[in-house]
Amino acid sequence: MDDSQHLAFLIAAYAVVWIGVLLYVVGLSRRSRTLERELDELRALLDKRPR
Amino acid sequence: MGSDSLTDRLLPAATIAAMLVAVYLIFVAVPSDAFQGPVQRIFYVHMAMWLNTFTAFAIVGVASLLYLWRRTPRWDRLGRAAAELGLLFCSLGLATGSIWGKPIWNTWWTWDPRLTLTLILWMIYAAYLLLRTLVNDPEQGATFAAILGVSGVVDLYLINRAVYWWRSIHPAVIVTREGSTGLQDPLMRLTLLVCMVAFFLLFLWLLRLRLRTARLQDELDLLRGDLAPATY
Repeated sequence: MDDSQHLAFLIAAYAVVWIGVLLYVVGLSRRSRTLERELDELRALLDKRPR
Repeated sequence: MGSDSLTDRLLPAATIAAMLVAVYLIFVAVPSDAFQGPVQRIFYVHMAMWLNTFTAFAIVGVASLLYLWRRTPRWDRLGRAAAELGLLFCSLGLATGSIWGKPIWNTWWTWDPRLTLTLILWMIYAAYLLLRTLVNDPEQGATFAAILGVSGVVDLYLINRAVYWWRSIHPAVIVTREGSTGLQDPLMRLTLLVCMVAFFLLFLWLLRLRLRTARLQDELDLLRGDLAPATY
């Protein structure tokens, strides 16, 4: 196997790592935003509830 | 609050700075291995993935023990957050190892003791996270998961020892089977160190973010519980 083929494996390995981390961060941030929105809605609902 | 916001500002900046230095060292400064060629540079990120995986699953083990002992939700939260990150880095470690294995071993996968034990590790912690969705009572789910989290630590030890105890084709690089270091070039050792520090900082940053999400989830579950009697 020559160096150019090795380079393709090298680039693939680092791409997998960066894409994997990026997808996780995007997923985590979406989850966090959804939770914050649901929490705000629930808090508003609790405030309106008769005591 | 002050120290929290300081860490929240410093950690991303330190991670990005360390990553840039690591990328420079890996792709520009460090020499290629005489036998493996450029593909050996995968090793730096591969090792960093395993440092994070082992740290994450060790945290799960300790947090699980503390949860079983104290029964406080924050230990379960820490276990959940670390397990998810451990699973992420374990998957990336397996993927980078497989990509390195193809040109060097001429196969994407082989049932070598260390690789097999690592796959078992991945399954243990996937089960740790899945168990919670299968059990209706969250407290019971957390207890079952904690038992699994503690038992997974045994596999961590076996993975570490596998290349010394059994006939394995997996290289032992940091400390070779003969007891010396496998990295002769000082720049290679520096690159490995910087890469591990950079990805460890990334791990700490992600752990903080994941813990925050876990806290929000717990708060939401608590509020839903408060609201339930009025709703139904």
